[in-house]
Amino acid sequence: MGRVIRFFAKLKSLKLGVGFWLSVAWVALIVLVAIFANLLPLPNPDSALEAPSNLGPSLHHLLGTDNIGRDELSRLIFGSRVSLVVGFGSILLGILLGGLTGILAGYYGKAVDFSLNSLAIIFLAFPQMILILALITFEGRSLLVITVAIGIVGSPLIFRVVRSATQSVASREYVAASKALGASTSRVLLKEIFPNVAMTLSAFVFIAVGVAILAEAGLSFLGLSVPPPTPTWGDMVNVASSELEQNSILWIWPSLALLFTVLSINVVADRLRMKFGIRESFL
Amino acid sequence: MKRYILIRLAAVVPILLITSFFSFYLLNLLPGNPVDAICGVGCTAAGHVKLTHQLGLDKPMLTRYLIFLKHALTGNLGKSYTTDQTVTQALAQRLPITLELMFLSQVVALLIAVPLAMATALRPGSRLDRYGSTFSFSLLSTPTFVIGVFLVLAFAVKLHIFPATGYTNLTQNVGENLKSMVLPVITLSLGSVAVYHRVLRSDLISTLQEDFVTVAKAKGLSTRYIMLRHVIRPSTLTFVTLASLNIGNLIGGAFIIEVIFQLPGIGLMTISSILQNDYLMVQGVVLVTTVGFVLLSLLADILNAVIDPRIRVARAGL
Amino acid sequence: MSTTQTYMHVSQSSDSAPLLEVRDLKTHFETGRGRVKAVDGVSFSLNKGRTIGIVGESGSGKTVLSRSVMRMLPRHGVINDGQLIFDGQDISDYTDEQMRRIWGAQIGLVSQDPMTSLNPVVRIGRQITESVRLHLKIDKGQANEMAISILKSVAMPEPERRMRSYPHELSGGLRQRVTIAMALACGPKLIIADEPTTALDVTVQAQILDLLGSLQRERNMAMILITHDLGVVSDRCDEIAVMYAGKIVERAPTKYLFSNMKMRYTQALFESIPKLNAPSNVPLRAIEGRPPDLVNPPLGCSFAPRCAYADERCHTLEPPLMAAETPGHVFACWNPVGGMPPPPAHMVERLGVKPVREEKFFKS
Repeated sequence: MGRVIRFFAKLKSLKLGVGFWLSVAWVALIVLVAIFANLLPLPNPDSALEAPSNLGPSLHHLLGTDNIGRDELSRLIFGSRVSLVVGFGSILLGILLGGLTGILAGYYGKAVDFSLNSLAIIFLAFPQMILILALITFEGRSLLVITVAIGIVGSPLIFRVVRSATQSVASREYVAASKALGASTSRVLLKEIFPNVAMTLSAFVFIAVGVAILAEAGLSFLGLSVPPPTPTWGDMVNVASSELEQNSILWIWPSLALLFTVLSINVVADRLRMKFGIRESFL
Repeated sequence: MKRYILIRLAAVVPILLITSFFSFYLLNLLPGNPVDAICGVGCTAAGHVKLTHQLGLDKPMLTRYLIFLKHALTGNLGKSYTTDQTVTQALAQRLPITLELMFLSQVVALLIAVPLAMATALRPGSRLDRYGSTFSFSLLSTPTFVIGVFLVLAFAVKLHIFPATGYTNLTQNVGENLKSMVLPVITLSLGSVAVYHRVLRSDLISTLQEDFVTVAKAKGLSTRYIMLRHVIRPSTLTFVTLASLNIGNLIGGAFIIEVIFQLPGIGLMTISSILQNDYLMVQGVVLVTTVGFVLLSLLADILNAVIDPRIRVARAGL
Repeated sequence: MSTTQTYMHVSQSSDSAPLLEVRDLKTHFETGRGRVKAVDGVSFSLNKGRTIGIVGESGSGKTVLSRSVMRMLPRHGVINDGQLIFDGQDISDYTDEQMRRIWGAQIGLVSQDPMTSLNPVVRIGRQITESVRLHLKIDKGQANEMAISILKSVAMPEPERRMRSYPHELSGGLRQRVTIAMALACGPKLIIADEPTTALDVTVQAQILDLLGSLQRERNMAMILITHDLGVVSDRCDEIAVMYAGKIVERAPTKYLFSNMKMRYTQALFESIPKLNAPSNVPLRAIEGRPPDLVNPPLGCSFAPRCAYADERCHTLEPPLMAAETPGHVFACWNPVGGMPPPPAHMVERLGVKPVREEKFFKS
């Protein structure tokens, strides 16, 4: 019990502000409803024509129904799954790909660095949207492909961030001292370099998750993400946008869900960045 | 200066070769074989082999690339499977529309972001600055299509000021063309405004703290003169590089906007090509956009050298 | 130059009105931690063509003082108090708009680091001519000619060619010549040189200081020379003010300061200068400790925590500026070097006793 109190006292002493905690709460809420969506008393998100189409908000359908009578709230909640899986999954993959290579390039330098960095620069010479479109053209549209495509496209950026963070840490004295004391390479990487790089990366990761969620939303708006009937927020905006004449508030719900989620993630990232004193241009 | 530009230009050639090979390689190495895509479900083994030969896909990789490059250099990017146009024709017809959209949106974005950044950087922490920062921060978290849908609802569906969809060619009627471009351009520019304002503001603030700004003030120069003559130029280095990187985002944004407003640019074309597995078309788009992207990065480098004389010396050796 | 003349110009009783008078100047900053008293009640005056040296460690408030005198500090979050009289006008309440007619035209600034005080993306020529054209209202051609002649006067080799150079093409010493040329361009009456040689190679330092000195004599300009190095000011200033924790703790005509040093902090500063004639095995005396926190300065004398001679009074009561035996010489110390001086000359005068001539002081 005392431990819990101390933990909260420490959190309070960090002075992260109300905005930060509201953002954390929103993200936590989205994650929870995404996980437990099946347990919630919701109508089936895919069952069309159960109710009249383009209904306004009511007790039975809190956010109304869409153009073919599907419950908007249910679709919104189930749709969060795609956004979250793609957002966090792709960046996790990006960290595995770009983070590991970035640490190696930054630590070893020379030929390792040159070849990896050249590869990253070539990757970055492609417009990202084009690269993702090329990948899904030939791989088909599925949750896995979308996640992997966004992860691959994001990895050279993560590589560059981790590489320069590693370079600046590796040149510091305590790393040299640790090496001089006979610490093994893996020990130096794990104990000295990784914790420092992780700090810089943590702020960047949240921004990257926000960007990944926006990218998936863009793809699903274009109809190029996970195919229907799986609900996605971007597709829901697309559906609603063709019904603006009949139902002018339907588009608001998925739009707000996207805006709040990405904004919350960005607020968290921004506060972390300020706490760790990371320059904006570094990201 | 001339020497610097020549060196940079020479460096672009290998980059273009690598990226074009890469885009070719990538599209060809992917397991989803274009033959499967064209042949479809009811494809016989013999038909498969025949089509592979027809498309020249049985030749070695490098040979195929050289053939592709030779054709590409003569403007031959193949023929669409779905329409009877050649890829080059389709691009020539669609590209100007997308370029107009991107160009106008950048003009609008700069017209908003630069004065806003200057005003907020002069008084960091002021009311204007706090509102400006919140505005940019929220814009960065808003998907382009949400802004687009909102503008359609407000100005087309409710107010009937601008058309929601439809496009008039620039050569037919300039007024109508611009009218059909207003909403798409505003939508696309807003995202750039947010990025530009944030970066330019923080660069301006750090330049304003430089000694040479104090010295300029001690010469009795006005704030306006100092801002325009001494502060803007050194602050635009990161900004120009960023603007060239932002082109990548802009292409993604343009695609989405073309769908919302039904502008017949390359975005709309690419998406229907993807949905119909028209792979030569996609390859053509990848090639053209990548080359354009590389050339714009080159332009940004040259612009940076014009802005900062130190770069000409430091990087000419590379 | 006789000592009497030296005395005359620093004295308030001088007939010629001083070019700059600073009376009880205070500059405080509001920060998250509290109010920082960067400059706290500084007074001095400076006549035409004279030089005052302001000496102190980093953090003693000397740079803030120079900006304060120029009224170049931001208005927001800064409390300014005291009186500034420049060339007969009270500029204490001047707005930026009014100051712009004085900045550059009447007061020139030579700032610390020539690497950062020139705009890297603007040609040397424009950086000099922009203020000339603004203040003297002359056309581009005339301004260019003028800039070339100023560059010549700061001994810049090939001035015509240098006009088209960018700062990065020049060495540190040449760049500082450019900043001096910039400060002199409009013929100001006062030059404020803020550590003009700190960032330069030792070999160049003397050249730049000599250049500043000779230009000053030629043009009859007054100068405030700010430095942390007592050695720099020793033979280039008419008067020296030693600053500590935002206050002037000793001020005297140069020769008296060195011959009759009173304040313990001045003494410590003096002993920390390497001396050429000292045996090489004599260790340099560094001043222990750090300058005090300007938000919560210590009670009493602000130097007391670092002073070997401090007694109880030093820790509780702040010493006022007191007159020393030597004329025009004030100091703030309860236990001065050589003991407390006799009552000051003007007090003696008022009591009807004939004042002691300063020449006699030196003989005794």
